[in-house]
Amino acid sequence: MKINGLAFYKMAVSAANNLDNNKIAVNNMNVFPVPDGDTGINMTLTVSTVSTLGETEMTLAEYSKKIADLTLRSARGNSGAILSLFFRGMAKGFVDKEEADANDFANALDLGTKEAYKAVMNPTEGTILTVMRTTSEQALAHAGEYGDDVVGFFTKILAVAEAELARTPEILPVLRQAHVVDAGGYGFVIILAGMLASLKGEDIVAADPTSSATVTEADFSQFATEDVLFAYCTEFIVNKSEEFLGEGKVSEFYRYISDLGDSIVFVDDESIIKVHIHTNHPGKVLEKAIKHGDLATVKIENMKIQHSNKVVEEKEIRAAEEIAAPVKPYGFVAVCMGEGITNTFKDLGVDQVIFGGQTMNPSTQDILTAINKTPAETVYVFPNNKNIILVANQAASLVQDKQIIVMPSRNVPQGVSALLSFDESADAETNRATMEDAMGHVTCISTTHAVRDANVDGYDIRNGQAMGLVNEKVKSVADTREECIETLVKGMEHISFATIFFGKDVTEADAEVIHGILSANLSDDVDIVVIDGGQAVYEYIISLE
Amino acid sequence: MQPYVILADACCDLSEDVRLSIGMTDYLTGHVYVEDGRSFPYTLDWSEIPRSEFYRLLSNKKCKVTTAPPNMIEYCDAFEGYAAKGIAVISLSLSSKISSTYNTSVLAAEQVRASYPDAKIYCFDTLRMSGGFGLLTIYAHQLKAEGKSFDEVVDFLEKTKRSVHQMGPIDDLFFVARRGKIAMGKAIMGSLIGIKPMGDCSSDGYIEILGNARGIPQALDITVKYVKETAVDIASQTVLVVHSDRDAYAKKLAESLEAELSPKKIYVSEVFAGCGANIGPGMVGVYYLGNEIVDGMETEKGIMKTLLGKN
Repeated sequence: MKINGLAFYKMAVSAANNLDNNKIAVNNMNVFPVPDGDTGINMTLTVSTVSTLGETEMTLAEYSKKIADLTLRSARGNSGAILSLFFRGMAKGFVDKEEADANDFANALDLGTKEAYKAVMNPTEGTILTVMRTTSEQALAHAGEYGDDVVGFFTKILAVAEAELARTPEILPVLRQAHVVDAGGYGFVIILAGMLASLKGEDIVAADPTSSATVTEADFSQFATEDVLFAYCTEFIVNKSEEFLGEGKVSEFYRYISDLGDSIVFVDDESIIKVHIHTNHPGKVLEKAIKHGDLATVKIENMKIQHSNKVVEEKEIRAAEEIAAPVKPYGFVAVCMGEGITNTFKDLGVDQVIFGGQTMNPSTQDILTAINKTPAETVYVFPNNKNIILVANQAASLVQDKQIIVMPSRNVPQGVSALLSFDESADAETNRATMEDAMGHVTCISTTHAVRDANVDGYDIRNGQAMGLVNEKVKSVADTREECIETLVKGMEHISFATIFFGKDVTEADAEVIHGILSANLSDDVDIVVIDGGQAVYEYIISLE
Repeated sequence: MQPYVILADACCDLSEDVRLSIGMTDYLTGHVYVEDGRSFPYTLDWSEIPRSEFYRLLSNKKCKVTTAPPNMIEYCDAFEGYAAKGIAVISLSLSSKISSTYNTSVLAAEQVRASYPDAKIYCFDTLRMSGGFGLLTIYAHQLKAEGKSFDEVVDFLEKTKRSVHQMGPIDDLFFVARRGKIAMGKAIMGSLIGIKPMGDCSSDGYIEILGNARGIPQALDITVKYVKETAVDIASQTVLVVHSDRDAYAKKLAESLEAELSPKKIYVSEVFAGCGANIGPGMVGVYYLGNEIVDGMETEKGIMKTLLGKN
């Protein structure tokens, strides 16, 4: 049997559901034992939009192209971005094809792998890239043995992928130390398994509605305005209050909103709930939401008004996005979490702040929308997290009428430092160089706590212990975060400025203790600023310049 | 020689101890209006409203606090009082580019001369505000104390006013911007992260932001260095340090100036309600004499850029 468009679509949906059902397991493969493992969530959300295409008579070429476009815009995090690029490469392999046999599929896998490698600045072996590469190499080597037997072919390549996944700890020491396989690679294997299941007629369905991340966006071309049953597209993120922290404690919330609308996306994460729903009662939904924590972001749109003006074809949907005409020479977009950190970036002149960070990476589309809303000729984008840089670059590649410069900021201190060095009298390239230089001279200290026993960067960590990170690497482990910070700052020299962003899980009084630790251990001339950052996951983010 | 008086309005921001030191016996008060309906005169002390209450009011940026200069009647009364006694008046006013005070004083002087044709009243536009105005007031009193004539004092003031510089950080330009008092509306950002705009006087008496320092230690260090680069014969000068609700910073700045530059005399005063409503809390600055400030301020901008390491 050959794979036609509909079969490929079903394979992709089955793969997406398999990923959704196993996203927690993928999250838990995260090397750092911190409460922010999001590879599973990111990859799930990246492919979750595939099901919106529905079953049609599109060819393989058409389906694969649309899947590539959807996953590109939904891509979140590094793994999500790599996955979207993989689908893009596959679409290139299927161009003009009605259906595919094993050879065609092997060729597409190869192109998918090459596309993924191309986009990654420093491809690391022992990750999803290695699993993709080995799988596609073996696929090319053995495809001729299978011809139209796509089930046999996929069974073979799944076995190859699983074996290569098992080898990733042998290739990447950090995986070996943490006793895990690569999370992204694991996600890729799950995708292949989902595809194989579909080929066997055993399509995977989403298992638990409260953990479903399937995004169902209304396809406005399919019905008239008067057929829009639920008028308000309501999206929001809740920062969970203490009693709801952890997963699986908000089922009653899901059940409540299930009766209020459709097209529900309900992502129950460690510290947040992300909800998307079409409803006629946004007020009731939000009232219920605030019983579970604070609303971090809210967006409500009247789809009936939208629909009457909306055009539906893919090109027209993109054109309908708000694209602000440039009225000034430069503007800024930044990604961050926490009200105080958001205010800091806005105070530094950032035009659009995207909610996101270590937990809930924004998608390509999220960043693209923010860029489009920025009324400037040149837009500088600050991802402020290493897992967002790739999707930021993807978003930049989709913009044609503005110059987009993605500053590779890996954390909030780098983003702030870069903005502080911006010189409005200098040209774009000079500013890029100046800001990159500034980013290189700031040290980021952050603290969090371990959610399991682990060995990371040579440190044995017990569940619940505090971890101090310097530029995202574990450099101290202790029973308290105060001890961690003291260990890290003791003896530090040549520091002129320190900024302490304290998170939502600590108080101002706690932060003053940290202020005291810095004052005691750094030189008398250091200017120390304390800001209520309001961020989750990291109790303290400290910038040292 | 006819006796004369130096009569400044309360925007000269000279505290009681400074006034006593220089022999300043009189000044004109203006008016403060609070959005909640309160109004009171602005004086060179906190007798009408405690300082803490005043800056607490200002910290609520949604609450408008506005000021009005001494009015025509108040000027006429003051001038007439001196004219009737045969005392000449050198009237110093807040910059005409910032306030109508100077114009009011000119009209009042004309009116008083109608009744007292021999009245000698010179209305002087300081082209400065707060400490810059205060420094000129100090010099005027010092010259008077040295026995200089009315005309010699006027001549000195007219020749010197454009050479009055200021330098120092301000926490937040919100109040200055709200009054439309910033020259060249460049948005200054980053106050949350400790960015301190550093300003000198523009040629018309506005604040001209020349750069941003990071944190108070750097800001005060840059201030002293800037004075060193721009002052003319600082060792022979009287300088004035003024602050708005930042006593500790003012003390530190004065100490640094003494240690690094040894001016002949350093006075320390504070911003009172008249200028305070338009400056806000968190300013500290030093006022001194340098080269004449011209439009564009390219020299001063270049110096600041070098000091901030951007050249």
